[in-house]
Amino acid sequence: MKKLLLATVVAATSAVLPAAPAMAQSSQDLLNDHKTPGDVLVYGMGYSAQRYSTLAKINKSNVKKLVPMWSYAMTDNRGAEAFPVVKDGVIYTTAHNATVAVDALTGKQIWRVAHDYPPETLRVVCCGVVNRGAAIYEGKIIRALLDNQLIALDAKTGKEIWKAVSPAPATTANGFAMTGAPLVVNGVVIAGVAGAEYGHRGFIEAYDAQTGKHLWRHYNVPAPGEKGAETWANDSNVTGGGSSWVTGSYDPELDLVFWGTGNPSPWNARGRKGDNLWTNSIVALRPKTGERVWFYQASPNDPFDYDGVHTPVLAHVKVEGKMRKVLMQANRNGFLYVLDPSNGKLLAANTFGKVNWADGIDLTTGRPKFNDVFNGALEGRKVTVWPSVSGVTNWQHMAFSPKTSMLYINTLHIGMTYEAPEPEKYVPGKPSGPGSVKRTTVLEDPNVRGFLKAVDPMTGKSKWEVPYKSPNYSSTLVTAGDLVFTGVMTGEFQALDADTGKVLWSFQTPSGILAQPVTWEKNGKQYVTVMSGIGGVYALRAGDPNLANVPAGVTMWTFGLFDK
Amino acid sequence: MPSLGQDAKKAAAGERVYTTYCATCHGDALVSSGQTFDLRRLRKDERPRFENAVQNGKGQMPPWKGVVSVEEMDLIWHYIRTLANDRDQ
Repeated sequence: MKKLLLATVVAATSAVLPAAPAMAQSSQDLLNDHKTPGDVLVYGMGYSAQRYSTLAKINKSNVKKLVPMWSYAMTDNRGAEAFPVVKDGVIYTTAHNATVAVDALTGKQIWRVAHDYPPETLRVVCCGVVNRGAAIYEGKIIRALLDNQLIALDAKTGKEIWKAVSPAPATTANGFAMTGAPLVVNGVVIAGVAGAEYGHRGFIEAYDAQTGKHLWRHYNVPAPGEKGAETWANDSNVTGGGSSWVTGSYDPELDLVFWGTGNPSPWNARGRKGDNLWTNSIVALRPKTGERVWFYQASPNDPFDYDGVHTPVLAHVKVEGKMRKVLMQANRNGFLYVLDPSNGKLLAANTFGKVNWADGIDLTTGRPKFNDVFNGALEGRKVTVWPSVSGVTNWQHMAFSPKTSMLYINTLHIGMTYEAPEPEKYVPGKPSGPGSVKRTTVLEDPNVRGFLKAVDPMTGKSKWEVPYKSPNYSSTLVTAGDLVFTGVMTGEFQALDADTGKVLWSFQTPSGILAQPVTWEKNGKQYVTVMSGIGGVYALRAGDPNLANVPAGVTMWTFGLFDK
Repeated sequence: MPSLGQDAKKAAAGERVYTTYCATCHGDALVSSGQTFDLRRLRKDERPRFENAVQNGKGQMPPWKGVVSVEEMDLIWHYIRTLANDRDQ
């Protein structure tokens, strides 16, 4: 009888308590990530993706005393783009070929799991052999692999808990690859794909975080006969692209996930007349079912690879004198969009860099006011276009400070000549990107190819701009200490004054930085962590002489105040 | 002995094939930042080395056998020769 009673008590207890209390990261923990600055649990430092921390122990007055605590070698010489997750004194991060757990205070490796993939996988990785990070959920580290698989590893040991293969047709042979970080919402793992440079039909999909079971798939391009297919001439939707390689954000009040979709395929738009829905759009999805509640398309019938994947950021800003919740996206096409997150209605759209393909955005219809540059490109004329295919911003994430109500955006200042020949019939499975059009780089000043800007969301105007020789592909981080952190392609990790843009501190890391800085706290002390390692699309193919022979090699760095 | 005009035609066609398959890692117009092999360093007598790398892969380069045809490889080689460090000036 006593034994039976004990068994009952255990059963009752385990029904109330989570299985592993020390490693919870429950859905509630993820929801509260932005309120618990000691840890970094969700891509973007909270579901709103603001990359803002309330930590202020490192601030304008003492940032000069920031020193490296440790560095860790990732055994990789491809690009480092990952978002580090920090939980209970452990940092989890990724490369394309490994996942690691590292002691956050010492940099000592706890575990490392290597990932192999067939060599031909890299045939369809257009823009840098990278991985952008892992998600954490109930003791599991969940990440995507280049060859279209997701795995969940035990956060304590690295042991594999489940592995899921993305269902057909998501194979290397069909142009698919996975480089993005998954987002976990209420036990649902949401993941995206790359492949619009290889004529895939892109999607966003979901898996059960506990088992890896495939739950749903939202195609970003309609199937033949489906509503929206009429926006693709000549059945071009079948190979229409629309990737989802950058992680989205989530609003728990609306229960909507917001995800940016990528460029249509092929780049040459002349064979796919029409708006090409739902490429270059923001889609609002129900995380449980994948149902699309609304969409907003930024670049219809895009000829310029204005791949609209930039993570939508949620925040409260002043609109017509009143604070209200908005969704903001700094789009590669050069416009900064502000939308109502409940219905996708456009509230503002202003340029935040040099743009000449449209004369603005019609706020009533939400459509670009196309001009001769855009129309000429579609007619096959050679035109000079700003921005280039790389955009006014590329995939690098912006940060939003509720203190200053400003966005901190790393931008590019590069144009291109562009000419689209009469399109050949596209052969499925063949590359469908750069080879389909002719381009050359156009610069105003070879020594100013980018700026870090503090931008007012509602006007697109800068409060300050800091020029850089090469554009920063690093994401930004802003703190309540009024500091903006960014990396530079030549390796400098910098802290700038959020109010003025003055560079207050800089540290030379061994390679170029194109990753995602985060900040966290342990034992009452604030730290900043970032990965260094040049690679990615710009460094590889832009031919930027400022980057000639920047050393390769991925390392992770953690900085703290020198307090001895 | 192919005429100069044929070589130029092949190089022009090769640029298109190069842009389609190779520029991703080796850079627009063969200019990358040094993290991948600078194809302009390939010497005139290194065509076997080039073909071996394209077909079988090398280091982190994927194999292209069965994707890039022998004819396309020939076009790429002609394009590379027009920009090579030891090209005929």
